[in-house]
Amino acid sequence: MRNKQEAGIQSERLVHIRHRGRGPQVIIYLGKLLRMFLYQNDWKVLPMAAIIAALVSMVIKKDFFLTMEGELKGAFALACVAIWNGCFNSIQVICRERNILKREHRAGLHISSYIAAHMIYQALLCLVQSGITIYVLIIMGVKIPLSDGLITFSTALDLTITVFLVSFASDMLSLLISAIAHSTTTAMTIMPFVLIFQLVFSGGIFNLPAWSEEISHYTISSYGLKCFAAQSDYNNSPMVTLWNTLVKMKGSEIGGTYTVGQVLNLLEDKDNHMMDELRSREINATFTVGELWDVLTSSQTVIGLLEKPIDASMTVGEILASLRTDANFASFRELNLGFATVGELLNSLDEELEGSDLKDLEIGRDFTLRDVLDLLKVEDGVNTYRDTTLGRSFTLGELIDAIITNPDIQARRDQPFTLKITVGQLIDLVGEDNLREYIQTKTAQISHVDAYEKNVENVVNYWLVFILFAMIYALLSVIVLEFIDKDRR
Amino acid sequence: MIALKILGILLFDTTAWHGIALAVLLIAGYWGMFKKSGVDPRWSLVPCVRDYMFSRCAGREPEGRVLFITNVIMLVMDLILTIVDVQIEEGQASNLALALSALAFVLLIVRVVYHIRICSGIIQMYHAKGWWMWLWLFITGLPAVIWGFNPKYQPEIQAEDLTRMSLDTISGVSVAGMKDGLTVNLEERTAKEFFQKKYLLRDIHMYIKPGHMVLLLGGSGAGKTTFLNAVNGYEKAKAKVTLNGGDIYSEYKKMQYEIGFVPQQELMRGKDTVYRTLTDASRLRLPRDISSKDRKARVEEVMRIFGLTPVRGNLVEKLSGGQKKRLSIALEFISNPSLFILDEPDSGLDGVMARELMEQLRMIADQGKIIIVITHTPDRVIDLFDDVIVLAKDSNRTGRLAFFGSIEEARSFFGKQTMEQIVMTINRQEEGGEGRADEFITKYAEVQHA
Repeated sequence: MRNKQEAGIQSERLVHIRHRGRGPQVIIYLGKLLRMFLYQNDWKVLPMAAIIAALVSMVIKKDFFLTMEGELKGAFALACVAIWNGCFNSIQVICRERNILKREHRAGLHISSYIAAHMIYQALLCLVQSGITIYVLIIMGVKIPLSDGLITFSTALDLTITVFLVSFASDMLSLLISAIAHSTTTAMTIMPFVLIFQLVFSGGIFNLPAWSEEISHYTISSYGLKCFAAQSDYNNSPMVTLWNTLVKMKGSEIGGTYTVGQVLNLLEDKDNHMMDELRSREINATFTVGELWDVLTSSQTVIGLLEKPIDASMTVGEILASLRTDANFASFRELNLGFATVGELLNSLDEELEGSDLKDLEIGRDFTLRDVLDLLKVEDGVNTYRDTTLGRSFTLGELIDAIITNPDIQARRDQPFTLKITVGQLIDLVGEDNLREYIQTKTAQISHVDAYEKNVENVVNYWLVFILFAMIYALLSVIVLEFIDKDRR
Repeated sequence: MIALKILGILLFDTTAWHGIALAVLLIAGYWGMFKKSGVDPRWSLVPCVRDYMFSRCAGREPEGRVLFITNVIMLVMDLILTIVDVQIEEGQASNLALALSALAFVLLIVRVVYHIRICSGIIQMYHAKGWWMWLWLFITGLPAVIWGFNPKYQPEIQAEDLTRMSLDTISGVSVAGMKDGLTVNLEERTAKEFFQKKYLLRDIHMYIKPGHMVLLLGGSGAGKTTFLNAVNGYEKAKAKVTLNGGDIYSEYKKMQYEIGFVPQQELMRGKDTVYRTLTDASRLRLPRDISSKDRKARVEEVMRIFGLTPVRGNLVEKLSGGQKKRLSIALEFISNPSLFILDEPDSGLDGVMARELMEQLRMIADQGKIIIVITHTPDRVIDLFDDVIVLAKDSNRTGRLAFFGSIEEARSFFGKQTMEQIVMTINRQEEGGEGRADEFITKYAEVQHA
């Protein structure tokens, strides 16, 4: 009788009894998870994060934040570290206590509270891991700036936030896998596939075929890599691979046997736009009469020529007439000395000597060319004009045209010649500093990627994508546990 | 030409003439084998499904499901590749073709593995020698024809027809809902298995009074756990279950705290302490308006009742088997539920400890609670029980109620003295029992009807 009365009272009171809702349940489970952190060795993920960061720092510290390649490599490594940490944090957390969850759900646990508690707990774990990761990278010598942050006051803090968000999104992905898998073995079997998928489709390191590039838009790693690359200012860094390769090849000899025609064809090619820039380059080829005279008189060849006796017996006038009219000296006469051509000089000399005995003076075996020059007082004339500037500025195009229009050179089109030069000599010829700057700048321009542009909009967008990923995965975890898997949970 | 190719793939899984010839041989063989196993032979004409039906003939239905899904995917891919083949010649869709080919290769491995498993099953089913496996693997059609049409080869058992209803006899009664106690009117509990409806439980009606401790008996696979899950409302059946006047199904969110279900395994976190485990359970299960002081007092009380106070600070994983069992029960007891369901609480405990545990449950029942217990060693504690529920698998493997009543009535109904003898009576012959389940199900239905 007493039992019946008790039961009746119990039935009545059921209508009014309210149990803890979702919010308080989150707190209950958060406390449980924090205890698990201590007792179930979940804390081990923290030193593991430090070890992984230390190992990665050995690879990236040389050129991260210094060169384009280093930044891409560093961005990829950081994305991998963050994804790895996140995935391993939660891959087993649900499946290892699946039956316990079933029991507790039966006792009134809300799945959404359970997942929310995991989200908060995992967020805390990821945050601490991210801090540890960046701290270890810095103390290991990776040159991460402590100031000049894009979003916050510090680049290191910006990077910590990105590592945290990438880790957290990956963590939620693993939580979803853990919710789907019925055992830890299954979850750990799926895990490598997910990691490989994330790494392959990160889109930065591996060249993907066009049809599969779309897939990379759905991977955390792709956005992680972009965000890290943007934060390390990828686009404004020099690209050093080509230059480093050239430097390594300095001792290598290049060249071969070519014909004059091949070089001429190259110079004559109007469609070669690289030549346009070359042709427009100006060369300053001015010198003084004195400089020219000194060069000539210090040349052993010229000295030998000057001392050599003249064979033919000719008058000075005849020599002058020969120089003025002989077809062999035509190009010599056209030589422009800046203030006059050689022909004009010869003509004025001829007029000077008109009626002079000197013109009829016969030059024979007893004379050398030096005697002639002394007779003509050439040296005095040179001294008079010693400071007169000869020559002019001209473009490489003019030089090239002079070469390709020269009939003598054209006549030798089939003549072979051998070119042998080392890469080092070539670099020295162009100028090492100029060439390095030119190659690094040009290759960096070619490698520019809009998605890696360092600006607030890009980075904030990527952060929002990570949060969106995390929310979607968490929601899917709830759906999987609450609806899809209800009977088999 | 493409149409012909597609037709060939749809009907025979192949377009090659020799492949079609082998497929025709296989279909003919399956026709004969399906007839022998009690499966509609016309299924042998349907691609993909015929392999699934073959797996059922082999007693390897789960493998058949995987094979069916694999076959369907491969069939679809085959069709796509047939169409894409033409486009490749025009220089298109080669990436799709490559991707599908790679996937087809993976699926082929799955298909081979599952085909081997099913063939191994059919060899066991026909008590054939192991070397038949080679024929089944490489020229499936040949052994299929031999086994299908040679009367010498007969399967050990017929394929189970999942769609069949259970034993036709039903009680046709319904127990009136009471203001107190537990009333169960379960018409059927079904499950979808591979697009088919499978009957797990059927026609179970009973009323259990408050303060009664009830033994749930039944052979392996009789549906004891399914029944308990249906009673506590976690896995709903086509039924009406009321507890102290409240409908467990329609008011589940409120009623769930009135039911304590103690699973067979100790499902608790080993790295948490006893006190913390109970505290969390109290916060989850007790009403939210209860004061912190009262909640803590309840935790202390429950620890005292179940003898856990000395180990309150210990990690759960460090407890002995008996302590773990008691903690597991304490977790449910903390909310003071009206209905207490325990799935083999004495498993892994020695006789003395099991007896002590059951006596503790008796004490709880004496407080006006309903206790339902599954145990495989009932006779050593049978004096503590008031009633017994006997579930049995009928000839169609559906869980049915073979008896519900007092212990003495059960002995008289089955003509056996011990509970273990009763279980043996209703168990199937291949399980070492007497195979009289249908007889007692029918008899009890008639008794109820009367």
